[in-house]
Amino acid sequence: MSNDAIVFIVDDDEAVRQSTAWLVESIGLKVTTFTSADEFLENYNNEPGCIVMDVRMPGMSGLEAQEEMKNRGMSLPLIFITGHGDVPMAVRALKRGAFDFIEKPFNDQLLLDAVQRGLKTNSEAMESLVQNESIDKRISSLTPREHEVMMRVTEGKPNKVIAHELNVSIKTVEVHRARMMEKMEASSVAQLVKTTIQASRNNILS
Amino acid sequence: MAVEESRSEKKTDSQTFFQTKKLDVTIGILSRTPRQSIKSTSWQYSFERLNSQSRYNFIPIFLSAKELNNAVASDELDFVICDAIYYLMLEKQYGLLRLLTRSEQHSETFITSEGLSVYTWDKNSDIIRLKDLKDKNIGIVDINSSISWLFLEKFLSNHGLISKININITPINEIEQSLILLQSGTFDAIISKSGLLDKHIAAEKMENLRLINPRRGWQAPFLHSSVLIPEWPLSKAWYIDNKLASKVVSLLLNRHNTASNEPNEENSYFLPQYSWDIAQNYNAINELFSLSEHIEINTSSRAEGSSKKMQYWISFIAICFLVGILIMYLRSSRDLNNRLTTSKESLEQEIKERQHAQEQALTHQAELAHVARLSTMGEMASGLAHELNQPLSAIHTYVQGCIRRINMGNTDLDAIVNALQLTAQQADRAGGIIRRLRSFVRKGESHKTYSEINQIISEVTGFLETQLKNKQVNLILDLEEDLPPVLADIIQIEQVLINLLKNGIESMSGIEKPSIIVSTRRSNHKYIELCVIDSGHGISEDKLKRIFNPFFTTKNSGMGMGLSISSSIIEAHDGKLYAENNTEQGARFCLTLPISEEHLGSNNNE
Repeated sequence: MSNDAIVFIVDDDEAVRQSTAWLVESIGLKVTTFTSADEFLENYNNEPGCIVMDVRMPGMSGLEAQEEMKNRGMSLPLIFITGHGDVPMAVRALKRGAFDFIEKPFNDQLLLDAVQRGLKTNSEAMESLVQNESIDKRISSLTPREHEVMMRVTEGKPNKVIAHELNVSIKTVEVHRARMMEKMEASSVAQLVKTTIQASRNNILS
Repeated sequence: MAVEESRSEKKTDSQTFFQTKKLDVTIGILSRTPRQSIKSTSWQYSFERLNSQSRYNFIPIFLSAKELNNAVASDELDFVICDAIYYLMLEKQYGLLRLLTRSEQHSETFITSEGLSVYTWDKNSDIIRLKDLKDKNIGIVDINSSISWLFLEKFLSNHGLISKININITPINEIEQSLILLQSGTFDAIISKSGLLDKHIAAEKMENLRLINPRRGWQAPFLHSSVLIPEWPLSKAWYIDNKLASKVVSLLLNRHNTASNEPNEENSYFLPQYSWDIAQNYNAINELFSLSEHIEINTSSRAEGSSKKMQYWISFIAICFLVGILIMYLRSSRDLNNRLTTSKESLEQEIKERQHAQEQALTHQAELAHVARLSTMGEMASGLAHELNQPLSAIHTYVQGCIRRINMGNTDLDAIVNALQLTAQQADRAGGIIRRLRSFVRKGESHKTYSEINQIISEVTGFLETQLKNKQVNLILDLEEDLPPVLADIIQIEQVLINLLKNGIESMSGIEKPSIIVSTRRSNHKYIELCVIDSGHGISEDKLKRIFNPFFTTKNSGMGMGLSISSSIIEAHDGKLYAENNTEQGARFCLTLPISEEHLGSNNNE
């Protein structure tokens, strides 16, 4: 979990907003508060973290804000709090990908757990995003020939077969293979396979 | 109201007078046979219900058609129960207003329509259609004055029959007897209220009894020979106020529970007991009869002759009627002389009674307002729960934050003290909500104090914050500053305002960008005007006229008492409540309240 993660608290009721901030700060987390969903969306700057938001607010409601965030491609975990115990609304929010739905007055541990899990999910997502970026970079540094060799190595083909398929000498395959392994920062075939699996999971491999 | 004093109470001292004196309310009941007591009639249960409260003493008075007419003409009856056609006459002449319609139980259902059934024996082959009854002997089964005689006359005359001229009719008080007389040939046919004989005929298996001109309508499960008209209405005299009328309606509408199903041991009812339903539409009868009369004239030449006889008959009745009125007039002028001579004491007594009645009316209004407030609270319960939930959540969360900090050895005392102060503020906020709630549902007499109208508005909008928020209603306050205070019962004015705002919010469902404007201004030097203006669907013209009537509602739930009570509250403050549509969209409800005299300006005192 990165240290600069921020818990964004969005609630129009000042007392509820400030008290929630006070609770979240008590376990040493950074908090920023907003009085409305509009205000949050205007000021959000791609910081890592998670959101704690009231469902019913004047102006943009919590569910509308969730929709808007989806449209903007924001993936911050969103924890809704509500004073209404409105089951259909909770189902709708969770179906649309809300991280959690907590009823007021909330059990402090329940909220803090949800916040912690939210932050963890977010930082993992961030991490894998960073990793994916680096894999992406490595793969794009390969020449077409090296790329072809890599695909065949991960399929478990020996150099001789690769040389035959690509219609080159075994020596040439060995040179390409050594350079490819270096560029992919893989010390063994097993590690190379692991990296390519991660890449294919994130659709980096074309 | 006919407040009649009984001689015996003159002697009682003033203390018991105020405790035990009930206001007499007279109810005239149309009846062919004179009666003294309500006991063992079908009305018994209705009057037990009416007299189940302690404020009024409802007195039944059985009167013939003529007596009833005279009594209504001289305002001696507060309420009238008579058949539908007679009611229409009285409505036209004396402005009676129907409140309820009698309903009778037939097997499992309650029927609010009545009809007439004509029976004959199968062997009477010369009686096929109704007009074949001409010059015959007919028995009228009139148990417990159940026949509507005017209806019977109309029915007969529609078929060219007029009693004592071309048809002989004889009332019979027993079902058995009428059937025996029919069987023996004394009667050629019998006429009864539809459905009355059904049970008897089924039990005796009288298959050779034939119903003439059988019809079936959706309103009733039984066959009938005539058209169906609404059952007897209970109507109020023109001078009876809505409050007493509402009371009567609410006492009588609580029916079906005990009426005829569960006779209790002490006074089991021998007769089926009447119960009451919402008033039916009586105006349809006019069309019904003029229409069928029309057809009769076109198809039958005999009807013309008989209608001339009818005219003669009507003028005869009219003369009788005038003579009746003259006698009544003479009698009442004699009464007046008597009354003048006994004057002073009874006058004082009467003034006392009036004062008492007024006091009671005030208490009654306060009680009704209280009940309405409770019901408003009920409707608003979920919103209030949410409002209370906010400070409670905040308190809980602040305290948990403090505990965590202390457990972790975080000793930033200033921060913790600050958080605890904020917690205390939230506890105050919760307490404030409870206080407001409690004072709103407070029971009791009207307390008028000098109040700032704008202050009341901000209280009320605080109350409705949750509702406004949930429905995304934009509330705009357009309040004139430095308004002089009004002398008002704050709780009651709050009640009216909540009612108007709630109506406004509900009228805007499905409207885009709903908004409500609450405005105050000094309308002239004597009044302050407050308006609640919504952007909803508005109110149609015909509803606008009835909107302040009790029991009028356009909502699926609700009693229809809100605006009626609001209006009576504002009237009790010497103000006015009125409604109109905006020129563009939505409706506005405005009320005026008089500025308290001390604040009208200098030189206006005394």
